[in-house]
Amino acid sequence: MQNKGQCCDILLVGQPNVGKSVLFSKLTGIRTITSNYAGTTVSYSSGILNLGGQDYTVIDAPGTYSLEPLDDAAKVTLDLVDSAKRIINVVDSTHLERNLALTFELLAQKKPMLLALNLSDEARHKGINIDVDKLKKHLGIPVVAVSALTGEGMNSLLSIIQAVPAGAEIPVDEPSHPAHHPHIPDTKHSEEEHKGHIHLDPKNVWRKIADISSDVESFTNKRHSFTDWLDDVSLNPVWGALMAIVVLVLSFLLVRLIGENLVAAAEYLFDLLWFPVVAKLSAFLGGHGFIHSVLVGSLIDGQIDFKQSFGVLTSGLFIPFAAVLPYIVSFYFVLSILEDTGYLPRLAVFMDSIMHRVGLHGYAIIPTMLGLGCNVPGILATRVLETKEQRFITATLISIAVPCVPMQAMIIGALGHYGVWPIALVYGSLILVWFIVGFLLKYYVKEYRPELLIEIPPYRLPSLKALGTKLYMRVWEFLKDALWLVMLAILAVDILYYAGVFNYIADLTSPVVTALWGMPKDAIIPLLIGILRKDAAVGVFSSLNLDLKQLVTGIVILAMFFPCVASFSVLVKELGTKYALKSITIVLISASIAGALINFFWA
Amino acid sequence: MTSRHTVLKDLPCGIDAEIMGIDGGAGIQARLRALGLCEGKKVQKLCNVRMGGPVIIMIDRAQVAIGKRMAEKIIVRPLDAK
Ligand SMILES: Nc1nc2c(ncn2[C@@H]2O[C@H](COP(=O)(O)OP(=O)(O)OP(=O)(O)O)[C@@H](O)[C@H]2O)c(=O)[nH]1
Ligand SMILES: [Mg+2]
Repeated sequence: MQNKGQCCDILLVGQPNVGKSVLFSKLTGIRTITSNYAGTTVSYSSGILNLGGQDYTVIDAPGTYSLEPLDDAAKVTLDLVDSAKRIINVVDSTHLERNLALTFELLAQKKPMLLALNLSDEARHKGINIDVDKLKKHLGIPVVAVSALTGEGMNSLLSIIQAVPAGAEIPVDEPSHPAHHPHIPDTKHSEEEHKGHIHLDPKNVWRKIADISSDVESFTNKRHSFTDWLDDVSLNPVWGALMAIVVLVLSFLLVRLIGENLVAAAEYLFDLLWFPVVAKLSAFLGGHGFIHSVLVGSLIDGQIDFKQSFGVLTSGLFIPFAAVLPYIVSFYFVLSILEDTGYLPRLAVFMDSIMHRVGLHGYAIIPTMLGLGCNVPGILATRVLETKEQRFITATLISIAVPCVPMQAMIIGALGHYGVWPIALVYGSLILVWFIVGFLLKYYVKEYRPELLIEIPPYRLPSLKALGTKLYMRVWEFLKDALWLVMLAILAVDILYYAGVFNYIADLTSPVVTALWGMPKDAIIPLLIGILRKDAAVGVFSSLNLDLKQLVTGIVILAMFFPCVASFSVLVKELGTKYALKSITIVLISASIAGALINFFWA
Repeated sequence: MTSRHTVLKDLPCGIDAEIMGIDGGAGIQARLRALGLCEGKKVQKLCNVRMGGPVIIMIDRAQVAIGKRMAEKIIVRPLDAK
């Protein structure tokens, strides 16, 4: 599929947030993450559409405003456009004029193409009518009004797809559509014949687009709705900032509330159903020995303890299913609501001046929020930022100071019974580190000062189906990628302990661990295990019999220390080896300093 | 630039204006044009976010947030109140 010349039979291209991914799911049945902000899809996904016995490969591309890409996500799209057989240009009916700019660039590619006027349900609600026949005449390509969300117009879309031939040039009704190929700057040739195409001056194209949209659009009056009111409040200079704080605090409390209850339920089920099974296994194995310590782990006061025994079948299942999964569910449930209502871009607006202090602009809050779930999608989402510098700073800050949900769930589990303040201390240190490192990085990459420029989408009522799909995908992603790694991490701990290898390493690293950070030399073990999984590593910390000071120091260092393999590999892939190494160096230095400072100041 | 001209950042809130030009390089022009901001376009200024935050405008029935420094480069002519 990657081979040059043919990416797919049908490529979905359109500006950001017009509903390409929803339409893709409708066409292919493949689940995708959809959200109400620009830049949800940062790489492509492909699927098959079966129409009249024929298979069509369909690709959902990242949104782009123009074929002259403004960020890395849009570059992905540009490469795909070159090699697609047919294009479905997905257009937001409520913002026709702006969307047509991309349509005209695509028309110039002379590919078989059709236009899907999506969000037509929303256009109707807003009192916007588009004359489909007139638009068809103006553009010379098939045009269908659809709503990817409700499924309206899908049948006509499917029948038109079959009618649009592949490869061959489409019949163009109008002889003089502009052929402005983005790769060839055509300043010299504007307004003159060149290789049989007519090149129009960009200004003429804009004028033409304005004429077309005023010809095909008509408006009926609409009343002031609840979402308009909400819009007025959330972007109001005074109330908006207050609302941002309220929304964040409420989100946090909701994640805690749902998470706590799910944890309690999961622990109950483990005790009820799984405990008898492993207890029998333990008795059968005689309570000790190599096999016992791998499968069941060590007995705590003669009993299996799911949190501390550290066997593959005890803690290895308890950590992912009972400690982490509940928080995965609660975090992503709340995040999805923020994503789908369209609140995140508004948060970006209010974070803008804060983010400027660390060399970023407000939109970098979106990858950062995603990083709170898992650093991997967070680092990937930095593709929506326009420059390498911003991507570097955002990704480095995510790696250093943004703990993922699995880790946070374990932190709450490990520190929760000491009260609120140790947890507050951990989060407080991480926020402080985020600011300090960001502030320093801003001066390190000083040539460039990013500026926010984003579209604020309308508030939308989240669709339950989209919420459900996203939650399912993210839970599945976690189980698929994390379950075996957690078990592997625990297996590694057991085997290495048994073989006595850790003693050797612990002696080697004790000058740093003991002298600098004030922890027992064994504390290097969870830090190393953290390279596999940070959640399992927190579990090792809590089984080390540390005092509270050592536990807090250890957890802060672990959170900041070398990223887990999964995040490290995306870091290398996204930033390139050179920047990734820079990033890691900064990570290691700041983790060491932070650990030393806590050790030093905590009397 | 006549005395009636100002920059988007300094335009009072709630006022309609026409974009007269963008005082910036090709990169900035391209980013702004992507969201429909170019010479001749009519916009409505909604507000400035406090503490050096962005400027929020309405253009083609869409809300757009523009960083403060970028909004200083967009030259506009206020349109007379109806
Ligand atoms: N009412 C309505 N909402 C829609 C429709 N299509 C998409 N949406 C919503 O619009 C938002 C954006 O949809 P996506 O499919 O993520 O948009 P996209 O074009 O893939 O966006 P990017 O990947 O960011 O370029 C989501 O909140 C969808 O639920 C539609 O036809 N009607
Ligand atoms: Mg998408």
